[in-house]
Amino acid sequence: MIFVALGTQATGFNRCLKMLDEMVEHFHIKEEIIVQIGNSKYESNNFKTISFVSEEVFKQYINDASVVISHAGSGALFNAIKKHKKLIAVARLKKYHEMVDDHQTELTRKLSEEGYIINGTYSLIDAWEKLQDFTPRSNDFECTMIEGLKKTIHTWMEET
Amino acid sequence: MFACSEGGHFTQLMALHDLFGEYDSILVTDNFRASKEMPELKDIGRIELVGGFANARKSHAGSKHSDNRITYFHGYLKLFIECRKVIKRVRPKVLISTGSNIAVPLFFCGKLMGTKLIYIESRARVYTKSMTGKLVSGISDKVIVQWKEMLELYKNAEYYGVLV
Repeated sequence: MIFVALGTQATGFNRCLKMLDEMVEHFHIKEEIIVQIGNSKYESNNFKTISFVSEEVFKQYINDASVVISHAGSGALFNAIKKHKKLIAVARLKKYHEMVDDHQTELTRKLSEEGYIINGTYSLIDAWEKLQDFTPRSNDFECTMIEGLKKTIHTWMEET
Repeated sequence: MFACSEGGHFTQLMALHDLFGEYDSILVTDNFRASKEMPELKDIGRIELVGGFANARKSHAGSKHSDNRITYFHGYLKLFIECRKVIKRVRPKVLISTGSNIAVPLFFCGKLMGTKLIYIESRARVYTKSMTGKLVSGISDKVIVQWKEMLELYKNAEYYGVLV
């Protein structure tokens, strides 16, 4: 199953679904495709849609998918990276009124340059081609923020 | 006091849930689904819901009509008043926020009360500052960024890795 996650934004993301349709037809993809479509309005015979799901169900879909295609929200991307999925990110862009700014391109650029994901912002056909011999880098992120915060708070509490 | 708006900002704050039980803690959010039933929030002392702003923002995103701008401004004003009330009532020693818009009134009101302020820039920001970051970093006692690239933009910021 291919899972496509478009997020919960009020603004639609039909451009991504149009690219998805073109990708399916170009490569004659037969695998089942499930799209978490959110607030987009789009009809197609190439995939099934669900509107919104709980976080638990969302994670289950990611877990069960062979490939994840997602808008570049940080939650969806890191969820898929944690499951070591083959992941294509499509950044929502301001010029198509998909988001209020272009910040989704930042995480897409960073994570694709470092080998965790494939950038499909401008073409899902190109991204699908690249995906065929792509092995994603595994989740090697480290974070010591909690320890850092504890230390800072402790120092401040001592001062008062 | 911990504070965050809904969506990714909420997710990132929940990644800090190990801190909630360490202190006399309170969460301020506009995420109306937040409750102590959530496993991440079981150790939080109290939850304060503020809002009316999220809906105004949604109607604003896809449209340029002026009536929506008024709704937006009205929502923001309401949020500001609610945040001021919470800060005055709670008088937090430390305020930690992962953004976004909710941090702005809380930080400005907190600053006046002598609250120590920690702003954590979103993990979604790798090369540019967020609007919230631009507004609150100047008055924050500590700014934390989640990508090394951001250390160039926020002087004196600290980096501990990304919340995943």
